[in-house]
Amino acid sequence: MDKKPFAKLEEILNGVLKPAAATLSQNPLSNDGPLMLKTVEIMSRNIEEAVDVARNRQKKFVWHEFCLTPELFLAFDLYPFVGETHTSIYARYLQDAIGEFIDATENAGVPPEVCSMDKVLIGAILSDEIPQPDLIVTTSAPCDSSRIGYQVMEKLLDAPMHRLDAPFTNDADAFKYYAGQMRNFIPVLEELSGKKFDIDRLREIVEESNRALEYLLEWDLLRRLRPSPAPPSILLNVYAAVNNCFGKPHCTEYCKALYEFTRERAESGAATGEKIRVVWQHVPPQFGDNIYGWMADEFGAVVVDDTRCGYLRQAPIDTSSLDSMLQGLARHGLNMTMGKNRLPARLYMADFLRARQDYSLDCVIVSAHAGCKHCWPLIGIYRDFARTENIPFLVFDDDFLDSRVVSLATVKNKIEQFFRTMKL
Amino acid sequence: MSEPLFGGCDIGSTTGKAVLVRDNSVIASVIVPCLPRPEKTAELVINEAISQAGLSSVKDVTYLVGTGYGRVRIPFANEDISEITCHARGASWLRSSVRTAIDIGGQDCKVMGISDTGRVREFVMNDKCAAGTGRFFEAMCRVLHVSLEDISSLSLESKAPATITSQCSVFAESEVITLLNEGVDVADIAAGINFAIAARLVSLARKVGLVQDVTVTGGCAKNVGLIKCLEEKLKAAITLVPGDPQIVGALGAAILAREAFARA
Ligand code: SF4
Repeated sequence: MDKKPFAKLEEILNGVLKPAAATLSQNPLSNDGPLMLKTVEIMSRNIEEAVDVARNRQKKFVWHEFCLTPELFLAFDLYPFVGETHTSIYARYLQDAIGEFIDATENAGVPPEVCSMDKVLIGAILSDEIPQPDLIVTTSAPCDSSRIGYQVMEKLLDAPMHRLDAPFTNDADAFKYYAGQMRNFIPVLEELSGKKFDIDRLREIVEESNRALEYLLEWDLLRRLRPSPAPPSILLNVYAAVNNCFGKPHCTEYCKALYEFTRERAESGAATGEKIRVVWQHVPPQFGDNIYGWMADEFGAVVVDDTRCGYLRQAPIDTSSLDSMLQGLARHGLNMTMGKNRLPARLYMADFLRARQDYSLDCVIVSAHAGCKHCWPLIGIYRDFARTENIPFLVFDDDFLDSRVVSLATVKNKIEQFFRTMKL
Repeated sequence: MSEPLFGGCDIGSTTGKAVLVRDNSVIASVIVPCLPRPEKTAELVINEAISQAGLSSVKDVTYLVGTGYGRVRIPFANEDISEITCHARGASWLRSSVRTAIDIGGQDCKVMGISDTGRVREFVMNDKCAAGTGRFFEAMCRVLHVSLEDISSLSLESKAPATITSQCSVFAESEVITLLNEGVDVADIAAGINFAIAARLVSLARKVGLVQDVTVTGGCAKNVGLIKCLEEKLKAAITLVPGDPQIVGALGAAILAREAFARA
């Protein structure tokens, strides 16, 4: 019998997330429990939806990569699915599946040097975990690894693939150019969905994601307070919770809860135990217990921002015209999580400075993900910059998905040595 | 009333070290092989240091800092401080011009950039595998049937160092066996081992940025052959600290104990 698609995602849903939600609703365990419950609920809901669409095909299933957000697909009543976001979910809740998928990929001949993000997705395809998409949408960015990865995926899935050209800059001209790519993409989506493009429907959805974003922007301002009232362990999950559902009302509801919970904590002046403010560059280990929560509990080290969340800080989109909406979507997409890895180093350094100013950081931690050539070359530049700016800086290598490369214990040891040695 | 006495106790993965300091001088230093439990190693090494100093009990020590892997299991320590901080402090106390310290421990190695006030500026560490650690040397000694001291002296005799490409001790072991079977001179293999370790250390050191003076601490600093290979690879002179490089961490702990006491 053929395996059902998303069997492992369903295992996570029924074996981890639902029991966690049941426990948290009975007993919040900590002050952050009520928000953690909402986070688990939104992740469960997203997975439920994905499993449902993958099996019942009531909507066309569109697999898209970073550099795109869901709104344009939702306007055509398609089901958008960001594979990359889900690699974190497998890593967090079913680490064995990560090993299985990566091994399947490497055994099929994909070089081990390819980023594990792509290897996990290819392995998931080889293991029949991924449903047959009706369309794959990829871009020319962010990295060489995913360029190769997506070609392999296209071949394995034998699905139509559409490519957008992502510019290597991040200014108004770049957004205009990319918006042009999106405009040309509209007829493809019309054909796939059998629906005429309806600008008012797109506006409705973008307005919904704007509402979510407004809450996130307020939440971001709260994180800048010293001490930050935002529960650190939640930051690790926010990206996986909202990435796939921007433009849907339940995403807005979640963002509202995130903001209100944090604001209440700020207003009540609840003790946070914050001693050190950290900005995390690149993706923290997704496996094992929540590393941000551990840092806060052990050292009072609060991660106030991480690079995956950069796009959650984008200004809302102007919905007055199709051009303004597409340019806004282009801006959001290009700044989405690893979309930024396509940019020149100087823009990263600008981010670094901005983070120092906005979040009054005490130190920076960079986890250099094996296989990411967009992260490794920056390390030396970061280091020089941190030296000149006198910012305590820790860099270590890991694979944020695969705990076999560097164990969580090793990562924790390095972080502990860093905090203790630098007397932070 | 006698002058206060300060102690440092460094419980590593293979040896325990203790140093006692009074009046700005080292009055005792001891190294013992590790016992199965860190607290037992700590007791053994401190008792030996106490008797070396002609004292009767650990209670005679005014303030003691623990460091190393077993630092949190030292029952008599007043506080524990990371080994990186202790090695840096020890190295700069022994030689104030040291700005880069490479510490080769039993199961990890670290490179520390040191400020002119003796504080750690930044550091990198390798604790992912045995490459560049004392364990690597131990594995190689086993295959060659020589002691650690022999590796050092043999390496200095080498005319044509063998090439050992594997950083992993398991693969390097097979490489060494192959070289032995091919009849390669043991001295050349020993030099090859030192060069392989030096290459690993140099790549770590470059991450911190080499600032002179550079020193090496830890038991492996006694391997003169390795120091020579490191100098060659770094294209820089290595300034060893006076005395035993293996006790630098414990010494740094004792100096930090004195500083902590002075602050209190
Ligand atoms: S981590 Fe780097 S290599 Fe991997 S998908 Fe992201 S940008 Fe590409």
